[in-house]
Amino acid sequence: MTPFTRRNFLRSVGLGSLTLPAWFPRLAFAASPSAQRDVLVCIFMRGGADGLNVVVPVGDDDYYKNRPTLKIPQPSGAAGSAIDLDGFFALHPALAPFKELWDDHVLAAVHATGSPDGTHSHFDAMDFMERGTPGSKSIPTGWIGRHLGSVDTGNKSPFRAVGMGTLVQASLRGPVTATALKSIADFHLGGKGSQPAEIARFQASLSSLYADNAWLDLQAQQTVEAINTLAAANPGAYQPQNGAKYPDTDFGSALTQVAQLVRADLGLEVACVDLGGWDTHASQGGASGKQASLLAELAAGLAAFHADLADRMNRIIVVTMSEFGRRLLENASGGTDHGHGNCMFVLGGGVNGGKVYADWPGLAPDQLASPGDLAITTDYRTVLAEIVDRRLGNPKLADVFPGFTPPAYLGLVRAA
Amino acid sequence: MPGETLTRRTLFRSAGVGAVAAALPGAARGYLNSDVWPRLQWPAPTSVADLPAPDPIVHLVNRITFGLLPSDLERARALGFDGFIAEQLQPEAIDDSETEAAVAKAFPTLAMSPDALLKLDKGNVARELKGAAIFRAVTSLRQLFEMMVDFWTNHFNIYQTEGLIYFLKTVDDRDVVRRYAFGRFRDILGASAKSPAMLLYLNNAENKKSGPNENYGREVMELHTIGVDAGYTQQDVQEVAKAFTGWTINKATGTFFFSAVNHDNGARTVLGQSIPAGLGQGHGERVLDILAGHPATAKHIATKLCVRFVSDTPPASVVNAAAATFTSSGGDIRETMRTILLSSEFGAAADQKFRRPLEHVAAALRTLDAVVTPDGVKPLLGALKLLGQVPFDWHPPNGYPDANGAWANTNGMLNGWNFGLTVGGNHLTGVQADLNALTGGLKNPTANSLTDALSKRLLARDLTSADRDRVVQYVAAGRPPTALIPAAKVKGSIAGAISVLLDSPYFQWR
Repeated sequence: MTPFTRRNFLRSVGLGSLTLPAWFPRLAFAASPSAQRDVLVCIFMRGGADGLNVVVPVGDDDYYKNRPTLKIPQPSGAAGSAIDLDGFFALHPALAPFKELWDDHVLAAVHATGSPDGTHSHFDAMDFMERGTPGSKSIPTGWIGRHLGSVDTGNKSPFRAVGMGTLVQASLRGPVTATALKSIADFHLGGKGSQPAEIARFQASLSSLYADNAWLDLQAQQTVEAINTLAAANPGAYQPQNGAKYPDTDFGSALTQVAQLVRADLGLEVACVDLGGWDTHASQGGASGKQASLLAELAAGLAAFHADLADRMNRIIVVTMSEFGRRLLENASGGTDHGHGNCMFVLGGGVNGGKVYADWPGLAPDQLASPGDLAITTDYRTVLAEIVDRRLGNPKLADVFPGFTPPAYLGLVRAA
Repeated sequence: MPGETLTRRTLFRSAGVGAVAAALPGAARGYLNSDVWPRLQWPAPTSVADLPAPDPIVHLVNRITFGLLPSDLERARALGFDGFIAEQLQPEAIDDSETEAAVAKAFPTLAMSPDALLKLDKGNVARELKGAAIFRAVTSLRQLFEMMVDFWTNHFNIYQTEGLIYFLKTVDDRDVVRRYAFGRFRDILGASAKSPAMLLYLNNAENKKSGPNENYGREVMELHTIGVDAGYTQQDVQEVAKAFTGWTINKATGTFFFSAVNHDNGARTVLGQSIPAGLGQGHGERVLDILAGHPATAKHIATKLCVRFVSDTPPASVVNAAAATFTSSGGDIRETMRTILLSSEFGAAADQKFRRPLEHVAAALRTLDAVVTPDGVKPLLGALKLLGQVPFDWHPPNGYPDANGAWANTNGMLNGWNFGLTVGGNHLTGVQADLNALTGGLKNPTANSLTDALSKRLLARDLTSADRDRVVQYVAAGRPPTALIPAAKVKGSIAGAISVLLDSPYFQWR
């Protein structure tokens, strides 16, 4: 029995060896969507990351007063001390790989940002943030989904919008069906011992059974198109370039595959990647520990992504977010409870980097949001709106963020 | 143990109960577009499956079991719609000793005490619990009970992987979820609040007077009881957290322990109700009383049960009826389920739920009447990992999503199809099915006769004529549909037909 491989499959069904069925790939991607707009990679740090220990306000005494055990020491060059950015803010030491990107001005941070709704519920906060309509659930689509639906790029690729993982991120909900992708290498049909010609027949049969435009058929057709597109592109084993080393984790694997999709020119416009585990109510750790490990994973992943796609980064923008920040005052279990304001990172060739964009509200008791959280002075939609408008080439912000008019842009990115 | 066959139990004999076909009122599906319960994390499609309706018994067995095991379908036909519900609501009266004996033999850590578990090296504790969950879903005669176990497992979700939870989730599964799955809500809530795995997972084990930890205090309201829209405040969260200070575990024995020294013994106000000072552990108990008896809890639990058993958008009428039963019965889960299952809304809700991965995998095995051995656990967990629903592996505390829109995506379709290809070809290690038997002894099959025999057997309903033609065309493989399938091709044709039927739209719904 010849093991089924994508290559065999390609040989058997691809490129004219059989009469191609009508559903065979609509390989009519826009000439190169990336010529006009950035690929957006949206990283969601699920669980509510403690932004005060990510981009650390080392110049604010109230930070040190409220973090007796979790504090990150002032930048001193010593191991475990913060990495200075501008004299007031400093990076958590586990984010060391970000320093070079910072100095190269391709990485920026925004602080005291987030979703203005005051909920401390993970699930409501994520839901609001991904819908892009804080405080309201009346619009069922997500902000990225509405972006894709409001800009006609002529791109019909099943990989136009990709949610990495087994579930599609809520921000991608909308008129353009997103592809849920866990593993490119496994994204083909084939049981043990199946012959390629048999698999092709089987797939054609499934296509016919899901051709009635019932609700589920949309997903099935998208699946078949994604299979065919990958088979035709035959991305094969992926070799990251420039010595990029992705972390050997689900997050690292997801970023590797996003890079692979970019390199294969499959029409990728947006990809969502999750990194979970930030709900550090207990044993959060300071310069080392639970949160530090996650930050190290984040930084290693994004640094590898940037190195791998160095020649493409002028047309890629990465943005990180988390549903809320965490309480200023640490609790007695070495952790922090749900808070409000947070920080975001923006990475890419079009970023005015090397700067923390913040209208710092302060951390004194009367400056905090109830019940003791970093206040929000920059709506996260202001950050995203600037990216959507200037880097994704979509001025229809009223569609993307209904009911929200961003104030003046921060100047975070250059017009594409 | 490896390779040993866990035999499927002998089937029920039809017990002479008249097979009364239940009349099902209100079969119209018109409610989908009206009067629906609000607050959905995933937008619901306005229409879901557009398939020829199954008969009421097939709908019932599809919905309250993990799939159409022929003997369960037979049993339901014998007992009738209401009779099968009544039997499944009384799991303690169903002799499932064969399943439980097999589970005990294959997964010995399930019966261990907490301190014995904590003395183990990591070993196979987590895998045994996952394996048992899959095995019971496929094999247990107490199918509705196992569905309720799955429901409460997700409602009181605990991510199994970290630290001592790796060992103690086994205790939670046995002494909380399985013990009270059909009990009173206050009892399962109270047991969960003292469950060492839960105390660790939501950090209440570290919730101390000197600096309260709000994690459990928040989630017990938002997720376990009154729900996020019940109108509680951050002040309530902090008061509940303080009430539970000192509820912790003894890490040597792996058991609940109330630490008076870490408890804030002051008076509390929770949801407007006063709790006096000085109650010690009683503060937490009073909070649980308030929460369990709150009308918002009745509505929250009723909504979730209806989403699980009726549709993603259950009509308010059935939710209200279930909530009323929940309240009047003092939180009796069994009676609440009886109200839901006997409602006209349930009867009219065939094909409204997309199978989640565990349901998909279990349903395929049950439909094929496959025998699962302990060797099957590893490949089945592998399939569930690709599909995204390994038991006890959901990290955040809200449990695996229960919404069609969450699971019906390209990853789910692809890996579901590949699972059908694998089991259709009998290629899954540790799982064996008698594929020939599925044709019902069909002699000299043609593409037509094989399609008809297998679709009747596996799907228990008619295909549309267009879909039948499509399957026939695949099975015929270029031959005329009425031509005899050459002897050498029969086995492959059966496998192919099984796979295509399991991968068809018909099998995706329950």
